Amino acid sequence: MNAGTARSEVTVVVPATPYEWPFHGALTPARTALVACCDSSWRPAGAGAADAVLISLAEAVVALGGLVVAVVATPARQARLTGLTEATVLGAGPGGPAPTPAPLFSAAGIPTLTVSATGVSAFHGSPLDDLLRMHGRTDLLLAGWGLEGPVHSTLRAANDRGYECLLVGDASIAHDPTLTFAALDMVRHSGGIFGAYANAQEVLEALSQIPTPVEAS
Amino acid sequence: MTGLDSSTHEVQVEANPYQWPYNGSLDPATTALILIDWQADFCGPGGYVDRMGYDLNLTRAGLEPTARVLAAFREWGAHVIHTREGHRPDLSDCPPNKLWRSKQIGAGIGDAGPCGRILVRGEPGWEIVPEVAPIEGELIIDKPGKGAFYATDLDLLLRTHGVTHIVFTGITTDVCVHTTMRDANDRGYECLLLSDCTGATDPGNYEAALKMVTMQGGVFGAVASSEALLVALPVQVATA
Repeated sequence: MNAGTARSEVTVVVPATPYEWPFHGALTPARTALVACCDSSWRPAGAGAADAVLISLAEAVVALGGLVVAVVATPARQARLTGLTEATVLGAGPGGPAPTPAPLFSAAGIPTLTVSATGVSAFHGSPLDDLLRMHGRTDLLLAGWGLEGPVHSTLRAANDRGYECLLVGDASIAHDPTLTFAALDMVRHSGGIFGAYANAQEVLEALSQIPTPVEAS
Repeated sequence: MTGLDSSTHEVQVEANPYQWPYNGSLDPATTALILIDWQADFCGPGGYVDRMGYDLNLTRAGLEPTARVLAAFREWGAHVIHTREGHRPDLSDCPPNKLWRSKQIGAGIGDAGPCGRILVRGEPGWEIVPEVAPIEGELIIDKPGKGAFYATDLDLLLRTHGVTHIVFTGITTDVCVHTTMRDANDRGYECLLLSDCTGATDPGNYEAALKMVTMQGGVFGAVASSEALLVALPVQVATA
């Protein structure tokens, strides 16, 4: 049986599709990270609702001892096409900082690990894999701007590396809204080929059943 | 001067959303055809995909055009690379969640089936189907994941062979082909996906996967038909 079954604590799972997540049967903040992706060249119009969802999720994850990672991405192709560099993304350019989730979390007072990547995937040209291992994170909540772009590339890279992944659909925004359904449906096939997907509310409700570190001590 | 002199023949492909490649003309010395996972497990009777209950016609649809493109690339003298997804017989390279999910859907990795043990290296189901089987001298990448770069020497082989441009065929479009193409693009390779040389277990996800390549001006490269590529190549190939 899985670790944790011998303890008296309540074991919590997220009612995800196509299986209750995580596969090992116990949502555990200490081994969970929320990875918020972006490609820094695109800020979705009307993203306020998804941003609010992303912030609520990050707050709940951090409160329980989970890790929040904000990706600052400068993918090579976008860099070639638009002159994007890490310096301009961080605010050295004329229009101020490029859109990334980092300032969003910072403004909400959420402690965040910021990771720079040089690919659409947050694993490309970044220390993300090393940092997640160092922090003991095996289970990832994936969300952000570019559901079918950066979020999906990161999901695929994480899944091949053995991370247990949950795509949080409504904490993400697609470049092309007509691709939202497929971006979720692709995950579901073959028993969860890249993991599972759920709504933020389902994740928040599961997290709310877990005692906070202070109460548990 | 012959009409097939590749030194003067501009090789550019009518593709979506831009004429491919973005940087001039294709050269066989720097171009590779990658054939992703044309294995019995994904397109043969009794294999992994068949055992999950999907329609094999969907994953087999691209075999015939892929065979034509393969013949043309061999004639042209460009690089040809095949990939196979599979695990060591003791499954020590299979992540536990991947194993668990496959058992949940009734096609457990390593379980015995009509094509031998599912997704295990050396088994009949792991072999590439005869229509597009590798020949002597072609590179074969054995991969444990969906992407062909992760935990393999594909990037090293592409670099040492001087490859900068990659044409993708294979199955399935939204899983192994997309994962590999996204990774290739992040690594700076200029990528083209052949729309009729690939297929998925779900037609809607096949269409969506093509659209995900062409959005944002070609965020992962471009998409073309095999015919558009074949008419651009300076070789004669048999038509269907």
